[in-house]
Amino acid sequence: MMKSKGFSVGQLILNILLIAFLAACIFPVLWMISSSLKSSQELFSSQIYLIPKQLTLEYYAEVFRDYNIGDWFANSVGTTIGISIFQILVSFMAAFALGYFRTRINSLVFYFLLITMVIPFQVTMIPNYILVSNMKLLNTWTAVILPNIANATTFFYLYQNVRSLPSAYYEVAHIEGAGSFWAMRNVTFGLCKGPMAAIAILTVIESWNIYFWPLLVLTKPESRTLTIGLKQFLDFEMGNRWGPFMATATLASLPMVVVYIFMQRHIINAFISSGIKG
Amino acid sequence: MSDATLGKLSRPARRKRSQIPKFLLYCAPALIFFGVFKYWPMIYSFILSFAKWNFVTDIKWVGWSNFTSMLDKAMFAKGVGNTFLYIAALLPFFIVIPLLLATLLLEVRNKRLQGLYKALYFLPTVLAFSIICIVWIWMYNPTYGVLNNIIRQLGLGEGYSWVTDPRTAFFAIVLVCGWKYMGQNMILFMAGLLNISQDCIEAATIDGANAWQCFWRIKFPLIAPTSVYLLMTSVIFAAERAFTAINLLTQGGPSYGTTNLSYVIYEFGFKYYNIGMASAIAVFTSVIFLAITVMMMRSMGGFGYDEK
Repeated sequence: MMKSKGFSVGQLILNILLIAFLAACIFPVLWMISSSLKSSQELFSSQIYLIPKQLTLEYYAEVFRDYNIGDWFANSVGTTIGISIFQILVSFMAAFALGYFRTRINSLVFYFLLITMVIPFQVTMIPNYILVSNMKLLNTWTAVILPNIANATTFFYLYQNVRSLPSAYYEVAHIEGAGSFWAMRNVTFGLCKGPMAAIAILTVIESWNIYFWPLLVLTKPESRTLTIGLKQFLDFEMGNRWGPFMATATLASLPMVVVYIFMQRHIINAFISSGIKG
Repeated sequence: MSDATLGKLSRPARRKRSQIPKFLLYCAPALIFFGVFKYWPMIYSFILSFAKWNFVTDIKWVGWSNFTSMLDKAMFAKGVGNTFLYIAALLPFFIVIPLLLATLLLEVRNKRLQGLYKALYFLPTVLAFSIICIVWIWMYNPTYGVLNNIIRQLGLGEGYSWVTDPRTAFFAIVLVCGWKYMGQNMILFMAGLLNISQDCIEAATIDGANAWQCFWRIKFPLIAPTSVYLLMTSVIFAAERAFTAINLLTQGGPSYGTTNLSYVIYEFGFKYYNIGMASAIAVFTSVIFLAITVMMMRSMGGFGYDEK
């Protein structure tokens, strides 16, 4: 089909439509950043400025001075690393085994793991809370990490990538006398490194952002993560402290946005390739 | 082809000893973690659903009474109804708009511009939903919120107190959830649309199909798997993720107008400490969701597992 290269009215309208809708879509993000940089006078004015007339970092200064945001940050980093490493490791081993071995119980194991994807978190919440508190783990990173290691989505994503390897690779390894562990490390891991890195990034983003489970098990102020530390700024009796909230929210979002900017293509591709291959 | 034959030829050789012990060894960590933190809680919920307990006192076994009395609770009835209302209300945001956006985006001829749109539309996916919810609370603020400021400046009245007004609270939650996950679904639809072989579309164009027919007769049926997958995730979403928005924006109010099943579980469990009732509703929710999922998986013909 021939398409003219030059200016076209159709393309212009299309782009205007897409930009207008995009503006509405990312407005809340821009508004968050903009609010964090405003002075209190401007924050509560009825005028709408996306770019503050008077840029100020007073809220950022307040956050660093009055709140232990350093602790929150450390807790977020610690739990995120723990969840990501174990989640990937555990899921990868199972995904590999499903691709490498051919046993009668393969599909049984596959569905056993996968079906948990549709169990809402709230169903397992109370028993898990009891379990973790009986293990005397409340207010520790371990309490946040343990239940989150079991993640059917990550398992499914990894499995989708692992199963796309031709089984001929394994046959060759087998004929050469290599064992299953060698095959896992050198064949599966070696060939799936790229997609696995991308899935790992998705896992990191997801773990960084979890909110409700940490809220239940981390009750001491010093054990809070960033996402639940933020809830402190919502206070229905004293009024919400919007300025410090917006500053902290921007800071808490920053690491993942930076990761996203640099890894954008990989993240989107991982998301696509792992999503559905029906 | 060669894969399949190789696999078949070597199967007997590999099957000399049973592979099951080794297979289970690799799966053991996953089986243990999923068993302890997913299956045991489900079983435990089932056991607790026959109990009267508040975390502190001794457990009293009360038979089916939690299940029978849960039916008279107004909160439960509202929770069930709203769960389905959320599914219905979120479908335009999860399926219709993303599909439309994906179709439009693929029409953009400037590839760099297209890449930029794609990246920016996906951006909300990267941010924490809890943070986003609180940013929206700020935008919904009746006095200082930007939404009401816009309404006032356009001279459309005084605005609403979005999250406490029964007329707008449900819509306010739907908007936040829809907004957060729209871009993500758009990307998946784009991938689905790109996977369609160009030959199909060219053949149809040669046969005189216009863009409209091309979409409904060819593209739409071919991306059905994507749609079913997204439909399923939307259903789960309506229960699970909407929870964060409900918890932060409205706490289920006004008068249970925005509560859903998962929020009802939470309220009975961690607000009223009625663990038996919360567990009974959790069991009810699991059954409903498993049933919906099995139905959808059937219509989709399995779910990704094939014995290669």
